[in-house]
Amino acid sequence: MSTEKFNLLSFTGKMRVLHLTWIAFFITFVVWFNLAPMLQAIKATLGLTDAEVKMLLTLNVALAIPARVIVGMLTDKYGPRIVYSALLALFSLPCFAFAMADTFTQAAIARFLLGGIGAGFVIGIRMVSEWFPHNELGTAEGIYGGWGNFGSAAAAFTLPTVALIFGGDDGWRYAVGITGVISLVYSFIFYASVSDTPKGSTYFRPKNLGALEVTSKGDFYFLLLMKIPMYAILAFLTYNLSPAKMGMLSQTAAIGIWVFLVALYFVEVKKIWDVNKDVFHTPVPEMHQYQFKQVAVLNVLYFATFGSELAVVSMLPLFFATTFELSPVMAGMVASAYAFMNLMSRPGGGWLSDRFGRKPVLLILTAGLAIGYFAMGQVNSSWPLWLAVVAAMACSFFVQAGEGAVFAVVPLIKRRLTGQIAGMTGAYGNVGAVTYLAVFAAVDASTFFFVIAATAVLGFVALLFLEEPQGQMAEVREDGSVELINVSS
Amino acid sequence: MMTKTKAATAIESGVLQPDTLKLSIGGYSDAGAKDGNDDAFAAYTPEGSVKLIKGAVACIADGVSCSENSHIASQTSVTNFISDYYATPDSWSIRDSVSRVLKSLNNWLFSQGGLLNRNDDAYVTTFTAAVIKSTTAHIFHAGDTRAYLLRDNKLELLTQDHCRFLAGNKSHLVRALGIDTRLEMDYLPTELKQGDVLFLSTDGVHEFVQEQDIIALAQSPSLSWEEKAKAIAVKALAGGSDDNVTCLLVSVDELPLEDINESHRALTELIIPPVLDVGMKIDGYEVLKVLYSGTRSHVYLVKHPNYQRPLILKAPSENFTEDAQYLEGFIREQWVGRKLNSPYVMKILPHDGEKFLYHLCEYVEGETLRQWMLEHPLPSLNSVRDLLQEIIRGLRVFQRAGMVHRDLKPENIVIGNDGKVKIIDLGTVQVDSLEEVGSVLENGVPVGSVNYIAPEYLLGGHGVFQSDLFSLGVITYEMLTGSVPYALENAHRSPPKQLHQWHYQSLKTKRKDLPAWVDMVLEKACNPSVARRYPAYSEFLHDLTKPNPVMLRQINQAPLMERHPERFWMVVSAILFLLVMVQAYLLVAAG
Repeated sequence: MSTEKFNLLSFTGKMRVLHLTWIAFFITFVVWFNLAPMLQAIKATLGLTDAEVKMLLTLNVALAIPARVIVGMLTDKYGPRIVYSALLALFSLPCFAFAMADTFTQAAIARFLLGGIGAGFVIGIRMVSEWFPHNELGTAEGIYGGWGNFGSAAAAFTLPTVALIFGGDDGWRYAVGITGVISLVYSFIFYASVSDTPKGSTYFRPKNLGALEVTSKGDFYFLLLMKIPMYAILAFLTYNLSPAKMGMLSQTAAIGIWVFLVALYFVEVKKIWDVNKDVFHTPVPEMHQYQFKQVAVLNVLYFATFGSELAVVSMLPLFFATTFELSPVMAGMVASAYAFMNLMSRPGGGWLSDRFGRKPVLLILTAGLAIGYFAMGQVNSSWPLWLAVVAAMACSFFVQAGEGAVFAVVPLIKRRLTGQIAGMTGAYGNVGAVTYLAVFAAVDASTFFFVIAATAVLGFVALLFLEEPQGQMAEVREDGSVELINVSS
Repeated sequence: MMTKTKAATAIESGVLQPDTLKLSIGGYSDAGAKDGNDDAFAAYTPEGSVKLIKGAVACIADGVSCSENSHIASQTSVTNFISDYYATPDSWSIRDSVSRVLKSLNNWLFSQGGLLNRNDDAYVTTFTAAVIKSTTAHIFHAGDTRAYLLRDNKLELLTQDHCRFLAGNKSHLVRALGIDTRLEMDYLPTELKQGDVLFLSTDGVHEFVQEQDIIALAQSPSLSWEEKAKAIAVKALAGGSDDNVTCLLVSVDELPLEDINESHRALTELIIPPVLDVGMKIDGYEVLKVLYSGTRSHVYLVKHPNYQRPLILKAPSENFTEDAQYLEGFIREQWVGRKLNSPYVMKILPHDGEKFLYHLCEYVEGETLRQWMLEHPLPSLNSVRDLLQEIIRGLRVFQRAGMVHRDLKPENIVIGNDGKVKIIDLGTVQVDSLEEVGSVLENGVPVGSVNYIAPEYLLGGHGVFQSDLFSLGVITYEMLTGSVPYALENAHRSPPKQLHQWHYQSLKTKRKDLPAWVDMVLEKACNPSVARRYPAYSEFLHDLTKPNPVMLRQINQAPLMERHPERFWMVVSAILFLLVMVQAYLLVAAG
């Protein structure tokens, strides 16, 4: 028997799996946000209007919402190794398509399809949970999520330079193409280098695929309600594309999509019913009961944190470039300051939450988030650039630490359902991204930041309904002896 | 003063169920119209953990009247049966325990009769016993004594008389204790309900009393159970019984029915300790080293002032705080460890911590079989056989105790520095006697590890010792080749559902240096179907030591395709090629 320390510099056993997995996630983020830092060039080559650029950004995140659900199910069935490899390989195709796009329609379709790569997060979460003992899981998932998210910063930081090296109007095409090649190549490396579980692993409890379990009648309806926004936002996006607004879709196509979304919602309702119909006649054993409102609160918070991160990462390079009249390379580098914080703040949020209590930390971070975005809303060309960068970094700290703190609470709600709760929470992050970018398409940057600040205030109110999850039942005394915490005597 | 927690009771008895089985027993026996009484009855209800694990016993016997020693036969049977039954190991199933006890009782009776060498003086007796454990009555029966179940005002005869009517309407016993060296007993497990009454009687009673009378008397409110039994016997005498009259009533006053929330509370009474670091102490055990930290458990090397040598402390992972199945297994592990006292199985030491859930085990210095395999790639058959011999010694300990390990894998076999092999991790052991205790806990996943566990678990079946043999077969194969014989991709997510999904990969391609019969031995040891596996560890070991002539013949007589697949296909291809050439020639010639 041997033990493995949690050593970040190690590249063996579970640490090796962690490194290989966050790199996979990192690459999905590079590919997913490879357009953001080069929007100006893309806009010029393809001759896009401002509205079309904003539409591209929204389309880029839309498909991630349904894709997450499907990818989550596939991971349950086939395991993370093969699903991650397939995802990386498959979505390199729309990436190449985007690199070769000549019209707005081509680019829009490629970008819409590429949104599916945003579903990578859940796969790695599953992988990491197979390899790490529970006491290291928070940190490991923080590193996975945080370092992976850093991919968008890396894209912002490097791709404009890569484009410049190839030069010309088509430089961005090569830069985008290269990210596709990296993704494709890495899919093979990943497949060859990891295994789903440590040796000698055990069988899984059959999961209720497709729907989250709830444990009371009220929670059943609550869950149905919480599923609506995921479809509503896609329906709204369709409306934006319909003849009434942008006219990218025909009336028939738009109606077709709406009918499809309604049908999909009812399929999901049916699944929820199949999994949960027992709550209507048999009481759930106390050991398995939990309150769904805890999940709902985390969903709202992740909507505001991760959702705003994705939205801001998409628009920030363009925002800096136009506000401060910077070169694309410079704007990309400055904008990457936002995502740069990911390296530390996401794991940091988990750590703070472990140390100082779940609810207080979340309250402070959410308040900071609201203030940060309010400050971002004030940024204009009269500000010195450095101050704008500091504001972006401060704001991003609260956003990403908030994400870490949300995911530190997820396993404490109902351990048995951790995977499904994480899946639903993550999906709300994507819903947030689409919502914010849809808002961005309609308003200017300053209003956009104010809207995020307002939803953060909403998140703060929702947080008041969160019940501090039950924590440790034992404590370690100064002399090193472990004692039970006396709950009631 | 703290009362004993439920969890502590569970650790002591191996059973989580509350100790609420309540029986009232009353019996009566009288010589009746005869001079001597050849009937006998006895009953015993133990207390505490013995009642939980062994149950209560009631039995009745009727010595065959032609023999002078018949009263000895019946009396010895009922008394010895009870004392011997409670002396059997706690882990044996009731059926195993009873059949072994009765077998030796039968042999003794038969040999007593044989010593006298007179046929008319045989020690022969009928025998009917009910062992009541958890919510089931296990009835064992031979002869013409009877067991009835009185439920909802109806009397149901559970047993069948083993008699044959020959000339002159005279009945002859065809089955009874002491008739023959071979004993055949009927085994009838019967689910009980609260308020049930079991009624055991000899032919002197049940042939002379109407069923309605038995029902009425057994339910007469003012009488004690003993008085009821007597009233029934008296009724039989009044009805003209010319035989000894004996009957026994067992009333099921309360059954151990548990509430699932209650069970869950009991399981979570003990707190899973937090993950410990070097220097931390729990109940006085100081962590010297963290040996293993994984998603299922945490294992530490610890020291304690009461022990000279360091010990192993194993705590479950907090991932299992809501997994009743795992917690029950972990609590039970302690009990299993105590029952298996063998140098081939890691010892679990008792500890008096009352708050946290963990085990203490002896520390074995050595390496796991997994490490051994890494250090000895492609070992000789000889060295593998030597290890197997040791491992099988350990597995026999389980087999004898009526247990199945269920999670045998290279990580769970430790080779000590002294060369002795020890089997560790008793968290998934299936115990025959505990299987008989009804449980309300949800059972979900098959326990054990992917690739090593026998197919019958995955298909929802019960463990038998050949299930461990399967795992051993897989391990042997892996020792020899470094890989497992069944490639079950992604099996832990979607387990195979049918036996044919297990495809044995021949050893031939991986170890060309090993003779073909070794492959056949391993294929038989880990055959997906239990019925086709070896029926004993010894046969497996024997075949692996000396080529089995039957298998050798199979190899030599196997079709070419099986013996030399490449050569077979080469020949087939050559023939096809020739055929095509001939066809081409004919076509050209015709054209």
